[in-house]
Amino acid sequence: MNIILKKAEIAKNTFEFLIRTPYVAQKCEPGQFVILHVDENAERVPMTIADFDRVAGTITLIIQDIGSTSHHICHDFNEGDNILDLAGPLGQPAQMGNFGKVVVISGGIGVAPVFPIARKYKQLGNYVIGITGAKSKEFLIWQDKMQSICDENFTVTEDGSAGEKGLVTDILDEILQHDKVVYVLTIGSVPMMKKVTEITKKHGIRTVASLNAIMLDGLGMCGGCRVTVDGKTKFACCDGPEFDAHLVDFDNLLMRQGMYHSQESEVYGCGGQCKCQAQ
Amino acid sequence: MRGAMQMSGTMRNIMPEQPAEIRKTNFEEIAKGYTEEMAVAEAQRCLNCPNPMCMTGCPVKNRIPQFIHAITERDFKEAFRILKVRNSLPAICGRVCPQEKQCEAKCVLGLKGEPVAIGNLERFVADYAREHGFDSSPAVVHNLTGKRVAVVGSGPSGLTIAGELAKYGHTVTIFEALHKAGGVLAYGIPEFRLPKEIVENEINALKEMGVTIITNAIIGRTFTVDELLGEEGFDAVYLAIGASVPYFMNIPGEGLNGVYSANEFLTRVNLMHAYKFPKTATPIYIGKNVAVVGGGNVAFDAACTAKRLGAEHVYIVYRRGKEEMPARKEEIRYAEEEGIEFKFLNNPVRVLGSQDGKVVGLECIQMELGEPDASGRRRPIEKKGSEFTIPVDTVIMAIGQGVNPLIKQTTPKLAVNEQGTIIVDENCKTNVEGVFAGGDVVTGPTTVISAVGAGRRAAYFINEYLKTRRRRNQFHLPVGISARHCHVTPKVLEQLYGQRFRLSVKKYIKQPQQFASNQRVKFVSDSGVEMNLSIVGPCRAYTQIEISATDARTLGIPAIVRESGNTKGSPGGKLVGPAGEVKLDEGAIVVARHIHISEETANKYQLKQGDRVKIRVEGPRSATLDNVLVRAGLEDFDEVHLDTDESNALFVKSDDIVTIIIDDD
Ligand SMILES: Cc1cc2nc3c(=O)[nH]c(=O)nc-3n(C[C@H](O)[C@H](O)[C@H](O)COP(=O)(O)OP(=O)(O)OC[C@H]3O[C@@H](n4cnc5c(N)ncnc54)[C@H](O)[C@@H]3O)c2cc1C
Ligand code: SF4
Ligand code: FES
Repeated sequence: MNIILKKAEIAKNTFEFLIRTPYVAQKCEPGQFVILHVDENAERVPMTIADFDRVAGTITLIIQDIGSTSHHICHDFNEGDNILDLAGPLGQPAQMGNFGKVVVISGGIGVAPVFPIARKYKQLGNYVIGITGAKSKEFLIWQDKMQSICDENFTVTEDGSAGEKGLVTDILDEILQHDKVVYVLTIGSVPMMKKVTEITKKHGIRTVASLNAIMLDGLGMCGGCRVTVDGKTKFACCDGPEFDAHLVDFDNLLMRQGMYHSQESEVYGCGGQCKCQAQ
Repeated sequence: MRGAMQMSGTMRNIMPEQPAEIRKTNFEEIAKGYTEEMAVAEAQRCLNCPNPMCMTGCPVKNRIPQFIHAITERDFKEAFRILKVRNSLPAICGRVCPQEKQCEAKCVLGLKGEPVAIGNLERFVADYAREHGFDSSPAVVHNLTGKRVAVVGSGPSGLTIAGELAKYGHTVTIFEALHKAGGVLAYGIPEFRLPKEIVENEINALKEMGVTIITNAIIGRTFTVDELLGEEGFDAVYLAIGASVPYFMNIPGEGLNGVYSANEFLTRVNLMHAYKFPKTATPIYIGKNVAVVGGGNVAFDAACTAKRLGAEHVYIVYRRGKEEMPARKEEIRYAEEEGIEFKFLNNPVRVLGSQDGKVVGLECIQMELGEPDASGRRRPIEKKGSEFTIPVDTVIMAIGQGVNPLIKQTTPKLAVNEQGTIIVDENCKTNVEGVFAGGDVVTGPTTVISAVGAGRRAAYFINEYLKTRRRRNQFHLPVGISARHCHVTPKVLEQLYGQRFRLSVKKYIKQPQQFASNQRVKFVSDSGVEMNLSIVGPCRAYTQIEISATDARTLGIPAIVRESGNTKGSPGGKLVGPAGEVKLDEGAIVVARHIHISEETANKYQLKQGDRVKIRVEGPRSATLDNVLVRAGLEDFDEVHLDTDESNALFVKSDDIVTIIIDDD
């Protein structure tokens, strides 16, 4: 049903899966995600669709080995294996339009969900500036793909092993000094998205963030993914995942992402470092 | 165990139960059901009234005195038959109906003593039928009509209508968003009240009737309603998506860690088996003390589940009094026995949290009852200054649910009312042609039996509606169309034989038997079926090489073709050759460019050599292939091939439906 056609380790602990799932491939739009339930005892986990091919009936998922479930998928699932349950496409597609000059800014594997959205921005006539950051070179992915669709593309690493040394927000700051950017998309760790939001708020630039809340069904029936936006409770899975970043309560999101840390670290010994530190 | 037999005419026979002290540590069913003797004794209490009041209380007008009378005669088969006339899910309803508000509320014995235990008897008969294997006695299935109905949602309403429509001879496909069918019966109501085995039994019975269930299919996303009626080729759609979006109170602190909706809490436990964490990967947080807000069945299910997960104190916080609680009476008794603590006339005003965002308490305010409101219940009013805090680690909100707006968002013309429930007329029809709806999505959260009732009513009206529809020129291939061969690539053959084969198509067509005698491969299915296959050469005009079964049996691959992937329900297996073996689900082994139907089928539908038809494969990998050529099969098999063109491989697995569409022009 959902066969893994290709699997490759494209960066440290980061795997690219090409999965044949024609219905989802046929329907998905940039910004949407799927829920995976890989086997009988597995969790249901959301994964953003990083690319899709309607003709071949495939989608691409980028999965980083950071928690128990992602570890299981990355290590126990190989080419030719079948994913028991794959549901989607879910969530609202990313907002689209011809905005003008757009910055897409991501950290870690956040670049994967950014890519199809940025590609569509470009197709719609926007001037797209990409900023991708990672800890170091070995964690950096998809720069060639970003290069191919961005008018300008910046790479940043914390240790300077690739691109410029520093943080994505340093570059953003710089760009905003001299460019008239009208729209910003950010996907990555919560602290990063929060920092981006603070910067763009100062400049009054419309900004959207795609929120990676803990999900269960992904359909709107559990409320586990709830986030606070403009003081109101929203469900990230069906009202989002993309929201007006200036209205998101990032502190609450960060706290909620840590909901099961103590339990999972007790069992898996990940010392509470799993999941939220991830992207 | 409780439940000594009571012979008094005013007291009912009580079902044996697990004692509270024991059951609150396990998830096994609380009540164990009547023995035969108890059931007969209870049935004998029934006066068999000429004007039975109980029936007026039953939402589906079960023929109550009749089925009870059959029990007194120990004709359980007949009792079961009578129950099934009106209620598709008696084993479930016998367990979860609020009988004390329905049938049993009206029973005349209730005036002086206790009413007949109608629910217990219904449960007994259905369990007896299941245990003795006459529950799935083949329902009368009419000839296939060729009309297709899409049922959206697999809760009690969807399951009911699917069975009813299948009996009329329509072809039914259920689309379910979750990975498991059953709706609330699967993810909501806990095992200790409704064993999942019973729900699965109902689902399997539907599958046996030919109903297809496609899970992980979200209508509105994977397909829209318009697509179901359009390119997916359904004649009617029944929306039974329930009312599953949890409400929150919108009080401060609801975003803290440790605040759950009852839906999330119960889904983690029932559907994802979080109580087995870390054996299962889904975690759940419970802590020492738990407050559940609400007074309905949902609240009680959450509370008793929390108890079983090890909570020391579990509180039910409810803003009215005990008498006003909508939960089933039995559930309230169970909870009391299990030590659940009640906080009546209290309403939460705030959830208190620690520095790191965890719940530490629930602040409530006391209430008093004022004038009756629209529902007839007295309206609770806050007592000023009476706030107090219950120290808890977990708060579970069970204060009601609304309808998921996805279908409305993606079917804008569909009429819904303010609360989002779908508007239907007296024929269960929505304002969209061909679209019907029923169950909680129409009424808001109600009961299993009312969802069943809606499904039965809608089945009748959909059947009427379908009569007015022109019959489509299409038919479904029954599962089990023969696959007499599978196709492998030359690479696979190399692995099997340790040598290269160079087969030319031309040569093969001249001498089709050339390889049959000496080149052998064994097919071993996952279920252990073995059969010998022989290589018969390259498939006409295609690059694959056929491996054909030499005996008349099929490959055990019901449809034609298998792609890699040991999917649920597909037979799986391996090919074993002299030099090695190849698993059928490794690599792209089996790809076919045609499907086989029996000659009988071809004759029935008047397919002739050279005809062009359309094939639709319906399953998780659906496809519609145009311009499929009908041609005679290999001489040694009485079958007909439907060939697709080179660019269109068919991917079919055993639970897929294959439809052949004949265009008349
Ligand atoms: C915890 C709990 C306890 C209850 N206890 C009782 C009880 O004791 N007695 C009683 O009579 N009633 C009880 N109820 C109420 C009862 O379960 C419901 O009234 C009944 O299940 C409604 O049936 P339904 O078929 O309308 O919908 P549901 O059972 O809600 O099923 C709807 C199904 O549709 C699926 N779905 C939703 N959207 C889509 C979509 N877009 N595409 C595809 N599928 C979709 C859902 O996943 C779900 O499986 C309880 C409810 C809950 C939650
Ligand atoms: S279906 Fe429910 S209401 Fe009707 S007889 Fe059975 S238990 Fe009573
Ligand atoms: S994940 Fe359950 S409502 Fe969003």
